[in-house]
Amino acid sequence: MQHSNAGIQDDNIEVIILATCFFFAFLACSVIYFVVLYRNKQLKNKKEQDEREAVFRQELLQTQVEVQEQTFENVSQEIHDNITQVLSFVKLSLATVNNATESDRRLKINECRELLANTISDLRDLSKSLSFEHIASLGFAKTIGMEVDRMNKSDIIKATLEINGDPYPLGEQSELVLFRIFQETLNNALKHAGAKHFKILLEYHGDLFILSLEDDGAGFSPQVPDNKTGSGLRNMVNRATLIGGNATIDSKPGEGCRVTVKLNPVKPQFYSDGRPHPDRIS
Amino acid sequence: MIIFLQYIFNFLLLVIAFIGMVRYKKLTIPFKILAFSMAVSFILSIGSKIVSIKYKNNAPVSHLETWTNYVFYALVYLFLFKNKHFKTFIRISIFLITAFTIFNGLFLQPFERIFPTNVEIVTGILFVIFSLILFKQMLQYPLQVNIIKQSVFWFNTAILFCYATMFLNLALTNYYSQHHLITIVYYFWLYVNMIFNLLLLVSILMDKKETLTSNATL
Repeated sequence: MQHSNAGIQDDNIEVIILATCFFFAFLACSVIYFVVLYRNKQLKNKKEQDEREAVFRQELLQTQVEVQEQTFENVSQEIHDNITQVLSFVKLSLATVNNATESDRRLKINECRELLANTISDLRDLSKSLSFEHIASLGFAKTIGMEVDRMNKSDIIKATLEINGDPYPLGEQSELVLFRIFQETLNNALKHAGAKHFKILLEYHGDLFILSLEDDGAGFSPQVPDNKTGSGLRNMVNRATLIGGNATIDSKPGEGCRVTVKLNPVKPQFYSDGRPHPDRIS
Repeated sequence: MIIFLQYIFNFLLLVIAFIGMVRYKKLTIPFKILAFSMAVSFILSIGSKIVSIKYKNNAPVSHLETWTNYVFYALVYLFLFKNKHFKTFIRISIFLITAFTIFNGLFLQPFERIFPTNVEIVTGILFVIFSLILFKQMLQYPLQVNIIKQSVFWFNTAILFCYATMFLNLALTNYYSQHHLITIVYYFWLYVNMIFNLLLLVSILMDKKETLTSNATL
């Protein structure tokens, strides 16, 4: 009888040892399974993040190319409409100097000298605008200021710039994208809307930057813009999102167009998956 | 042998509490709480030893120990969880467990005589659930840091290991007490606690403030 009881006790101990071993093996396997699962998730996320980063870089590169193209177009137009005209006038004026009286000659030479000085100044401004490093070196507000001066000089459109608050850097990539949005809006106002006035408002608050661009052109119904304008607007909205901002476009036929971009410069800017992108401002 | 192991266990707690205090400034908020809880655990462990030598009964300290463990570890989870509902649940649970500890100590398992196994079972179930939820949260928001270097992983593994093992221990207690082999349970529980505290030590050593933004939010 005693032997039988001992046998039962031995059996019980074996069961307990087995159960304990099974329990710890299960616990260890669960943790190992979790680690493997976590690693797979990390790899998947890394791949997705790399893809998003590649898209961001590509979009940024495209923005740079577009800014450059637009700048070249502006420079070309400036050279054709302004500089070539002034230089031709100077050439003609100097050609008639030989037949003029002494006082007229002096007057014409002085006039030509003044025109040449202005042209040199214009060329200097143009050479500055040829590289987009000037956005980084001058800052966004000053670059926009220069563009406004250029527009007003060319008499294509009457532009006004208003700055509220003390300008602060928004980050090189953000400023490039904002500048491209500015160019695109201006282009739409000039080419498609036939606007006469263009109003730019830069608001620098502590935790919010707002860029407002407003024209008095023909306007459009946001639901049915033509293909070119439509893709330009979509690009603006997408790019604003890429830098962590938010772009809204308000327009009605006959009531002009207003583009507003809001950006939080203090809050780290994120990709759509919540990861901070390299242009964040600390 | 058992006294020697108890000394080792208390020495281990002292070392962890010391390391926790040394690294205190470098730790994130949840692991600051954990480091502080290790110091409290050490004090209570010593207190428990003194009380058991003097009065031959350390049940009152055990009641206090169970309650402080719940409060501290629940606070750690409060800071580690992202979900607002879980945070609210933890806040409420701290008050409920406090009330249950008092009720249990007064009416069910008197403070001065019986160990608070009722509270231990309830808190054990809650901790196993918390650890599983946190593992799920980690899978939802994976970091690009090796998991072995993540303090949250070690802390959560420690909690899951300790409180899941507690149920096995309770299941075995019945059998061993029937066969007058209760010391085996004591040894078993001491070893489990040592491993648990070592895992917590690893989590305190691994924790850095830089990981706060991604894993722990207030």
